[in-house]
Amino acid sequence: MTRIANRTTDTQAEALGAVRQWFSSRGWEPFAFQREAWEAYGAGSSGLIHAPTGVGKTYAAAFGPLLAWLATHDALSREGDPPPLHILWVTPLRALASDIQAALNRVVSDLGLPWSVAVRTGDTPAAIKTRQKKQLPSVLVTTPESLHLLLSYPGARERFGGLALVVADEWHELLGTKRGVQVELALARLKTWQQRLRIWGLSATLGNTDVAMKALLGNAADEGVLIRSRTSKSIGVTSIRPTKVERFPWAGHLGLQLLPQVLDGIAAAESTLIFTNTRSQTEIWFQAILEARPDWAGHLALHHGSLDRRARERVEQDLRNGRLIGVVCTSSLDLGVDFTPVDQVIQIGSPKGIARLMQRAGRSGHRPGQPSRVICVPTNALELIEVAAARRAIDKDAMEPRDPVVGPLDVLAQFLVTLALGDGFRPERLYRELRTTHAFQYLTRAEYDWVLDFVSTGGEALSAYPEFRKIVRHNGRCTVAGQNIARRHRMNIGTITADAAIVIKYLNGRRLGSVEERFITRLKRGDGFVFAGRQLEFVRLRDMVLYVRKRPAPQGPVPQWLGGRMPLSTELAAAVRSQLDLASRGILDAPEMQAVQSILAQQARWSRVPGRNDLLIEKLVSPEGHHLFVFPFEGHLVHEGLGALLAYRLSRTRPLTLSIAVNDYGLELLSDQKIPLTALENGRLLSTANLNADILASMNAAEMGQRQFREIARVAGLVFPGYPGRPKHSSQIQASSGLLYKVFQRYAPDNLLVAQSTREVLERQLEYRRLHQSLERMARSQIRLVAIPQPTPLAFPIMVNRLRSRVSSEKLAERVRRMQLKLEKSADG
Amino acid sequence: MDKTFEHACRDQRLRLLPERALFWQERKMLVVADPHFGKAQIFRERGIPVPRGTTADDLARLSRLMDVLQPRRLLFLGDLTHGPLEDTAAYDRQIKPWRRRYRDIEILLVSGNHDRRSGMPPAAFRVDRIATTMDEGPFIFSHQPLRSHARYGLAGHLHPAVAMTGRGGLKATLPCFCFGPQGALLPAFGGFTGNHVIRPRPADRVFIVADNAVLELPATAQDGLNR
Repeated sequence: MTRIANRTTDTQAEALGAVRQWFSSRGWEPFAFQREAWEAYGAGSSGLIHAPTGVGKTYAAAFGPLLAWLATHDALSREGDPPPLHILWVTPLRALASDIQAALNRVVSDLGLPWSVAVRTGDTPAAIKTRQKKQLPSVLVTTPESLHLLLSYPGARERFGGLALVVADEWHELLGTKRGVQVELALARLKTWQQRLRIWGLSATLGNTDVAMKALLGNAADEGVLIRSRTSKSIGVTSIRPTKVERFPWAGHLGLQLLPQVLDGIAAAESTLIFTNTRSQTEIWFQAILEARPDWAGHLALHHGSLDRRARERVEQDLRNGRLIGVVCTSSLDLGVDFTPVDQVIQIGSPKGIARLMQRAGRSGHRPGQPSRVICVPTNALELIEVAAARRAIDKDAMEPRDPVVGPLDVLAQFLVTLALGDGFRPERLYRELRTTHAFQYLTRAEYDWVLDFVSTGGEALSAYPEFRKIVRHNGRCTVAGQNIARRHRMNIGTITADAAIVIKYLNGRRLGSVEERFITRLKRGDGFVFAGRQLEFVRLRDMVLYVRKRPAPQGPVPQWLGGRMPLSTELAAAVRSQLDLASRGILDAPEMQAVQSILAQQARWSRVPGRNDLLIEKLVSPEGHHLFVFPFEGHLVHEGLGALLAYRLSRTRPLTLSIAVNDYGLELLSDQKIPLTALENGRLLSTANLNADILASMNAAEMGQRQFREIARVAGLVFPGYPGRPKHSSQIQASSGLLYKVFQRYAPDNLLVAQSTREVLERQLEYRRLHQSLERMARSQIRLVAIPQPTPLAFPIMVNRLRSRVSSEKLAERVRRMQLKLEKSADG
Repeated sequence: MDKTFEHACRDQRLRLLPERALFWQERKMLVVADPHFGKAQIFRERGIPVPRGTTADDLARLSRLMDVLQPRRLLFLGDLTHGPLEDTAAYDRQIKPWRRRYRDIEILLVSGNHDRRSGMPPAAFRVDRIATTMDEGPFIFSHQPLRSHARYGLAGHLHPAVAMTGRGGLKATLPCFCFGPQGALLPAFGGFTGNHVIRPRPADRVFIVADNAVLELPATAQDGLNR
């Protein structure tokens, strides 16, 4: 006995020696958190590795199983065929998959292991997919969607039977999405097949690691090991500040004025990532930089989600090789890809979140021990406050949490069909398995039965449709009814939905990328626009393809993509409030705060700068009517819901028409009559009583539900987007989700998917929970109602937002300039 | 049939019905475009659980029109059925009694693309006459709009609708009748059919179906049409 134990220790030491040598051959030394992760893996544990971007999480996860394998295989048995599937590596981004494959391949070949490492995503050629159906590689790097696809083929249990480790990479990114739920479901299945399976999540910049662990490990979360890197990455946040700050800032006004300083910043660094918040901003900045520095043509690139995949990959490759001095990009470059040459990040506009700023900053100095540098460029003066707030929050490590999605029945419906396609399932056992996940821990038997009926009889038990064909039960086992259903289902596995995309091509067929359909509908033949950094002309639109030609004329609108405008996060909003609180007491302890001093002074003169416990409400009478400005500082989504709620509650006392405008700091209600404030005085306005009912009554919940149903219908397999980029086939079972929503509402009002869509509207579009919390906070606050003589610096940007939705942008600029002139004058007087 | 609109066209009186059908007064002819009967059943047969009730409701609505208007003839302007069904028995059980109830009425069908795919005509309807186009008085009936013809065309196929925005961010897509200089489009009759948003030209007269009324869209409103 003793002898064997000794031998094990020997081989373990030997294996560890080989790994240490591998590290030192690259001039590295394993970090403590990496060694901890290997030990925990060796002890059979699962868990979560939480470390900033770029400190070596990949190696922390990968070397555990490598060490274990080395320790149990001597030199002789290390030859021969690659062993069957051992490690499954799940990543949210296809673009990351090949990076991970390359990194792991290098390790495997350096250590002389006979392992095969391969990628399986939607981009994998069919021939390789077929081969993988027979045998999977030793290490498979894949996405949640492709993993589910693998589960949908018979024999999955056998293929995944020898699995030792699943790595959920960028878990913070998957968490909070339905894709995360997909991973949870797949993990539960794999654990059922392989009791000793170890699961490790990799996560950066996250405020609630406990919840992340629960979502990852389900009911086994208590035994999960949390490993944190102590090598905290130092992040330097600086800002470019305008020399003259205008007293009346409005969105998008500043931006390009700071171009000269941005150019200096780019010139001073080796390689810079320039992040913007929207794709249209990306195009604008790319154009502006090249116009100012034509000599940078060829060394400056553009990267956003609408560009053609090959174009994006080229840019990524050039970045890696250090061939670029800068890339203007959006969140498309937020994630993991390792661009070692990048030594500086510029953030244009507010990052809107602390974790997001850290994540982006982490793109620079992507090497252990190197600092990350980010320069923030405000697009309006008030964003300087956000920069100061974000820096303070980073120092205090106050990161945003991410809440996992709970109980999405559309994902469950899809998963049941996926399993039925594979080896089938037994309903009783599967129910128990589902309850081990975090997402479905509270799934009731009634809900489960409803979903099961929905995919097997088409309706609830009592109203089953005999003609319905999807899942059939045979000897207690659920399998899929026919080949057509199987093919259609496999084609549509996944939870990502996007607007219908129009492909943009040159007349010669060269592909440039794609944009949302709604942008195109505003253009007509002969119109010019800017895309992919090029001036283009609309030639013709056919079958979802927009044909364009180059256009010499230098002007054209820049496409306004819909791409979700991020609201200010709760944490950053709180940090902004405390910056203002300090300012209200005369403390300006950051250069950014000093830069906006004149604005804050103006705010204080006409109204007040809200302190920690203040709820500032400003009243204004103008030729336009009666305005009420409320400043909760909770982000524009919450303000939208709040605006509708307040308008609803105010107008209950007396018939009143109110128009609503919002930004991230506050909201404005405007009426042609005096707004009665009794509801504010008696506290009913901000009460959380009847909140749910009032919200639904105050907004067009039916219409919003219909929009939300699009995603649900797609995930639950009610509508089919078909192949991306290809026109929809005129199929007999093609119906819009809006039509289905109406039919369900009318003929099957108890449908749980319809109920889910109302819930998702509340949770996602209105951030219901946050709304609830902010109402509670506001009700506790000291209400500071101030009658103002003129729109204050805080109120002015909201007024401009409202104007924006009414008049065209060109006239708007004109109008705003005039208004500003007027205001500046009276501020001096 | 709360609020219909009588539209004079080529000296004929056409009543536009909020049930999304048209009644030709002089000939006592009821015209119905794109009912797509059996569509929900096809969805169910192929694994999409669309609830029951759309076909029954459509038939009931059609019966109400027949009872009130007492037409001599009923003309289906194409896409009477949505596609081939696996289980025709259940379908026949719905249609046959309905046809018996109106056995004296002549049923005409201008065949549409869906009818051709479903291997028409469905026996249960006992259609008296089928053609790809039909001439009648000053009109020519077809499923898809004809390009140019001496007669005034009445067609379906497109499921026309207009998208409108109102004050307070109100948005609505409403089915419509669209009468142009050469021909007209009828809205789809079926309750489980989608819409296609059209952009009317200045010379077109557009009648929208808003709940239980047919209203003419004033020319000024057309300037504000959603593009």
